[in-house]
Order: sequence, then C-alpha cells, then structure tokens
Amino acid sequence: MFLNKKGDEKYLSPWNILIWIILIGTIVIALGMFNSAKTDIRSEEARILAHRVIDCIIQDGKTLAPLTENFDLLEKCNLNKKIIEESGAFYIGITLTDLNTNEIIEQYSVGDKDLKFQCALKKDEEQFASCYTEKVVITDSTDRNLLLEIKTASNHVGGDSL
Amino acid sequence: MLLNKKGERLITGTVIFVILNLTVIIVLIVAVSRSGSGASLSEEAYAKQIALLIDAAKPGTTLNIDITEIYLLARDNNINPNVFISCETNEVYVRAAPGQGYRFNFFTELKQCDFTIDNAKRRLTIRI
Repeated sequence: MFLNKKGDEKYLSPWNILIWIILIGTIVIALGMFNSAKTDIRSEEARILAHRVIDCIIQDGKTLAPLTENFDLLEKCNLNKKIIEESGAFYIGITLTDLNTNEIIEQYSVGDKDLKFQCALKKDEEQFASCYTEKVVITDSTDRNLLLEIKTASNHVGGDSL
Repeated sequence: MLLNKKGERLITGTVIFVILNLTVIIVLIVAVSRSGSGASLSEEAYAKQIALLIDAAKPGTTLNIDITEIYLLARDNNINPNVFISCETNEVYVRAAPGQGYRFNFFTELKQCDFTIDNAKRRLTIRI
C-alpha cells in the first residue's frame, strides 16, 4: 500500500508508535497508582492476622500451647496453610521472653521469612511488606511473667489468585 | 479519476493515519471512562472489604453486607452482578463491569462454606 517510503515513515513512523506507547503507558501507570494507593489493605491484614494469632494462643492471660516445632499454629488458629505458608505473601513470628531474666524462651515463625527482613528495612518503600507488632504480657503455669511478641507481615497486593 | 498517483497515496495514507489515531484515542477514552466510573475500583474495594471482614470475624459470626453499589454499577454496565466466595481457593470474586472482575484471597480456613445473596435486598450474607 505504501509505495512511497517517505509517506510510510511519515504516517507510521516508529516515533508515532513510540508516542502512543508513552501516552498509553503514562495513563495506565497513573490510573494504577491512583487505584492501588486507595485500596492498599496490607497493614490492616497484618493487624488482623496478629490479633487472630493472639486470640487463639492466649486465654485468660496464659499461653495455651507450647510453641515447639510440632506446634501447628495454622491448624489451631484456622488459618489457610496454602495462603499463609506457600503464597509468600504473609509472615507470622512469635517470640516468648522471660521478663525477669530477659531470656528468650521460645521462638516460632511461619510464612515467608523474607518479609521479616522487609519489615526491618521498610520506611517509605511501597513494594515492601506492611508489618504489625503486638506485645502482650502473660504468665505461665509457674507464674513467671513472660513477654509475648507477635510480628506479622503482609505483602498481599491482590488481583491474582495466591 | 485520480490521475495523480502521488495524491491518491497521500489521501490513503492520511485516512489510515487518522483511523489509527482515532482507534488509539477511543481505546484510551473507554479505558479511562471505565476507570473513572469507579467500576474497577468498586470491584476491588468490595472484594478486599469482604475478605477483611471474613478474616476479622470470629467463628459463629454472621456477616450481612450491603452490595447495592455492585448491582447499580452492573446495571449501568449492562451486565449481571457477580459476587462469589470460593471456599476451595479462599477467594472473594466481584464483577460489576465488563472484564475479568476482581479476586482477592482471605486467609481464614472456613469451617463451613455458607454464603447467600439476597437479590431483592441486594445483600450478601456470610456465616463464619
């Protein structure tokens, strides 16, 4: 159709296509940023997750279960194993410290450990996970005062199935 | 009729140039108006809110969620509204405009998969 190569370049030049791509790209990115900023619920998810864990492992100011390797937190707290453990979008970390000796008694974690480091690094970087920390003082069966620290993180952006 | 072949090529080229530009502009207008109407944002907001409600609810809770906005948006977009909870994949799916809709996962392992949609009252009921 375009026998005249000069005309071909004039109407369908790479520059024209480049301008379209830049135009479409700018609008898509701007709309995406606008929408994602309004609906980022990762911090809410991290907070809800922490409270879910606290509610299921503590009762009447005492820990319900020893946090050993065989302890299945997800089963006990009705949390979906595939979503929490395998998706890479969530992290739960529990640390139990003796308040008298400051000695860490037990540690337990499940989920993507990389998110824990993102929490430590995060300042204003939006791509890093949102984190939540809750500290609760409890007593054990021997009336020791213990500090239960629960750290949760969510990097669940959504849009696609986990 | 057109003896001047250079002129003929010029008209054809201009027409193609205009058609291509119009196509790009129409696609952009449709995409921006869809986003501007709030359909995609509402799909996402409802999917995320429902997922958060499920995650935050204690066992035995019944959630009643008003989804009138989804119905109105779907009506404006001439499609049937679709709100669905998949207990197999732990997903909330909301669709109120032409396109794929929006899906969002909740992390709660539901003991029962009990949800109903009242079309008359435009209400979603979930029993946790």
